[in-house]
Amino acid sequence: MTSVAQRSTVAMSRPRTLGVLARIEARRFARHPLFLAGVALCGFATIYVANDAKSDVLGGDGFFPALFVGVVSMVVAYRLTRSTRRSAEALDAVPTAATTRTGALCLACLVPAAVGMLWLAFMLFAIRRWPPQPWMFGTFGPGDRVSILAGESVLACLGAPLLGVAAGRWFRFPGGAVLLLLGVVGWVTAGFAVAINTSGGLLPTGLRLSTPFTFFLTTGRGSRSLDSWTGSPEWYLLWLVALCGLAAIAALLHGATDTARTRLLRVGALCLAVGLLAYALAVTGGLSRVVTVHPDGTRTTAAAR
Amino acid sequence: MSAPTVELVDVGKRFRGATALGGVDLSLTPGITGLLGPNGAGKTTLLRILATVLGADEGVVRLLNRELTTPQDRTAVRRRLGYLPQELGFPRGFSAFRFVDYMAVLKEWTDPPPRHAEVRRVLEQVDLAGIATKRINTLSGGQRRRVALAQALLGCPDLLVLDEPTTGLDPEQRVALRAVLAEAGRAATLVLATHQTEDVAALCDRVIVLSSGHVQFDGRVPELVAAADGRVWLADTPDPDAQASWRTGSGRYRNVGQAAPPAAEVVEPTLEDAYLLLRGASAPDPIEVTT
Repeated sequence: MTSVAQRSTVAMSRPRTLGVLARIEARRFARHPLFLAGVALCGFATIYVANDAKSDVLGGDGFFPALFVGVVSMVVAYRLTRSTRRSAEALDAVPTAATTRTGALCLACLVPAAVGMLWLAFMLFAIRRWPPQPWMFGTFGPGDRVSILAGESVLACLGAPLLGVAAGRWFRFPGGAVLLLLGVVGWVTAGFAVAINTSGGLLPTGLRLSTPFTFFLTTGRGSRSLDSWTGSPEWYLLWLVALCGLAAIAALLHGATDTARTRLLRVGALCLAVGLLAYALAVTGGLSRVVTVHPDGTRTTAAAR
Repeated sequence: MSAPTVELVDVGKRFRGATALGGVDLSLTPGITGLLGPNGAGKTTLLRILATVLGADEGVVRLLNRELTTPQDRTAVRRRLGYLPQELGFPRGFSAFRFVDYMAVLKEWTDPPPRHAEVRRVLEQVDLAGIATKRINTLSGGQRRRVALAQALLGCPDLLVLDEPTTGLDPEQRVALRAVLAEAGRAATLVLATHQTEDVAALCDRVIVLSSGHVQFDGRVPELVAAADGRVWLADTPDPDAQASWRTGSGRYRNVGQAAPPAAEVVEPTLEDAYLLLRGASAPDPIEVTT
């Protein structure tokens, strides 16, 4: 029998617990086999495609972090969140609130976001070091390019796992991860499918930009031209930031009581208002019609389909 | 006599209109209290209320001198509480050390050196130090139960609420665990629900028997056992008037009933006998124990 330890008399502050928990959750995230496989695939695909001179820098390349890191992290975050559900009753009797545990999981989503940031830094470096021909950026200037790349990488890698945490907290049925995956992929695909059959217009643009991931530049017919899509990349980036905030708030609302709930709802309302404003500006700003840019620099605006 | 650490006044809890607990009055002081009762008697509901996991619908709950009215009160009580639920699952891939360490963080042990020392201490207490780094899913049921108990023992809580702590343990482990619980119960208020009357007899100063959400008996263990004096006897055949009767290893029948027949070989009752008698007194039909 061991001697009885001294009872902990130090009242730890809540932010301290949050920090320690966030580090634990971040380690669990970073060591998850699915996440590691996703990062490896993203790295491999990026380097493989970067060697291709015809690489569509702002379009197809951005798909890699969003798919391999973002979507995979969404599933990882969902599973990490659900992993403690069988210990729920013991967890309900500890002094650390459920919102703190959820906050730690949300902070752990910075791990995939950091991978997205690395990818973005690599792409910006690659563009500077080995500049593609100007037509390969379509109609987009330097600010738009950074916004597009950041949206496809950092925000996709942050927002998707945050959504995973929210779904993990609220879903109460088996197979939730599959449903979440199908829902998000279906939403993004449907938004783009509507837009691709049109040459612009508010409704198709609105549908396309409502989704948490979209392309602003795609390869045209025969791979000899690039189509620049409608909407403002910069405002769309802010819309994505608002979506990330809303996902985090949706997650934190689970188990929040009294004052915390009211505070979260207020922040959520503010986030929603900013998001809707950014969304409206994203839909109405930027190109109003799809513009095709050819290797010789000529541009053609698509007629209404 | 120490001041009560647990006070329940007219506490009630209902689930979808059905009464799980009704008019429960309790006042507990440091020491070990056993909670007995059949399935559905309200033991787990009562323990969940004591563990602050569940709120009472009626009455007053005062734990460690705090009435549970605000989230701050609940948090303050939880800082001095250890709880072992009836069923505790574990996150996949966690080792025993990692799980208890995770729980220690949630119990606000944020500095790594003292936290790790405390985790090692509780794992040693439940005799798991040697396999602390093994994944929980590779451990036996008894070992898992001890991991679950280890997290409840973190920080030497003032109030320890244990729901069937000895489930899945072999006799040796149960005896070892009794030593741990006896030590914990010296300074803390320990409430344990169990179906094992031997554990209550071996450990508890006090026993509470719940029946249909109400307290049927609340007193010292010897008092309950004494109520069965002269009401347990051995015979060559089962006694039709006995409340319970079963064939023992010696080939004779142990009968428990309201009164031993004249000239019967009366034997010393156990807590189990007393419990059966108490249950039989309140049950609509006599209890039949088949062999």
